[in-house]
Amino acid sequence: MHLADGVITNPWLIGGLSLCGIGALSASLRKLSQEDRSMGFTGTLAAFVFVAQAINVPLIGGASAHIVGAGLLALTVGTAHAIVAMSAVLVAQALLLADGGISVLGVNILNLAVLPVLAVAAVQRGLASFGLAVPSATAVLGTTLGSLAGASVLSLVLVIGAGAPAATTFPWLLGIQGVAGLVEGVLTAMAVGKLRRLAPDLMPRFPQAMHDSALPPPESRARRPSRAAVAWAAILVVVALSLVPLASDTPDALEHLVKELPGAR
Amino acid sequence: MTHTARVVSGILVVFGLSTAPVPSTTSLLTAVVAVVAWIALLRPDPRALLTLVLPALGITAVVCLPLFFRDGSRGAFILARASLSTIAAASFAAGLRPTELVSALRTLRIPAPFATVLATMLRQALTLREEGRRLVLARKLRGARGLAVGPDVVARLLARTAARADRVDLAMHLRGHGAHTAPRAPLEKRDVLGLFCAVVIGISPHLAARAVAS
Repeated sequence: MHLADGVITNPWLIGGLSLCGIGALSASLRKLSQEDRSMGFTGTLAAFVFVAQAINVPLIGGASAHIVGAGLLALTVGTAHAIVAMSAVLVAQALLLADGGISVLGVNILNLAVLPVLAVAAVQRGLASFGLAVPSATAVLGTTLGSLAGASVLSLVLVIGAGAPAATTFPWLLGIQGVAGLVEGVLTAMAVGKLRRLAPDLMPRFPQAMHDSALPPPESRARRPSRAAVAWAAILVVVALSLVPLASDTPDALEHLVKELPGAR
Repeated sequence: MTHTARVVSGILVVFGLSTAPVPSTTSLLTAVVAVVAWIALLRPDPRALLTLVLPALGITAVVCLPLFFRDGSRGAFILARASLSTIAAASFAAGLRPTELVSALRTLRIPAPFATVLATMLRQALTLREEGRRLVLARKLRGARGLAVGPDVVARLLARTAARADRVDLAMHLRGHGAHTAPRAPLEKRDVLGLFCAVVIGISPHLAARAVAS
């Protein structure tokens, strides 16, 4: 969610966060300049993000969603390319489409480019350290966490910079972005699944299914849960924990009925 | 005005309006007059302006909603200030072409590699958009609907984009294009009046608030 001009004016807050965002962008640019590939490669990928954000996927109830692209790029071409490409898209959106503030461009780069990409990369490395290479789980978990991280920073900005009440701001923005991140994560996972069949060389960190000889013996496979199952279990735990703060205190239908029964009073 | 002057004026006006003191009715009313004057100066296409403004205002309203829970009037002032800043930014964006933006940013000394990324992105975006549309149409003509279309099109578009990116990269290397390819558009004497008007428009809410306070 883009932050617009005029919502916050605290120069230290804007400056500090912008420094983090632009610092990460500078580091990524420096890393890319050491590679053989020209900036034209990254620019073309940025054009993909620009266009992909316009492809709406219809959901239930007339709502639609679209892929943001940070997770997809992080999983395919790496962190540095993803951060630079997403930042270029944000700059173009701010200056050509008035989508997102100009004075808070650095904050938006941090929230919408740097944090989502780093979240996906962190999840990928975390799962890899457990010997798991499940692109769909990485996409869902990483994208959701990235959205929540960006929403957390945005909430903090509104609370400190605009005096918004923390008790309302955090649940509101984290709720919206959590759901949006989850939906985008699922869409990214579906896209990644298709990409592994269409262009497997774009995903070197997630090799195709191993040959049979590389699989462990049948007896030991029967005892251990599959890697995908472990990854999905981790995702469900994280999603459940993130939804706990939104749980309602009002009694559900059964509790209400029990209270209304004669003798229960 | 040159492209660079246009971009600099836009940035000055947006900065000025977005930092207008709140809550101050005088400042807000002056900001409204300033935005009207800015729109009159730029004369953007009304349809293009509305297309840019309405979605941006919607997102701003969603982000600003929690501000109303503590102090409704202050929340309203902040939302009004943010909306006016967005309208000012949209006014200058509506008349700005992508090529003009890149040359202006190069003149303002943004790093050349980033300018190259921006220039390539804006150049390739139209082609990729048409390719995306053809992919969506092809899917739908083959009977795909709803969720079956989006991720499939995105994956195919990314695969094609990666191949195109490699070709663009090779072509740039072969033509000796490095990072310093985007031309600059230096400021000229005729830009002075436009920049002066932008400064006046930008600081008018601040001056009005100070005049009332004193």
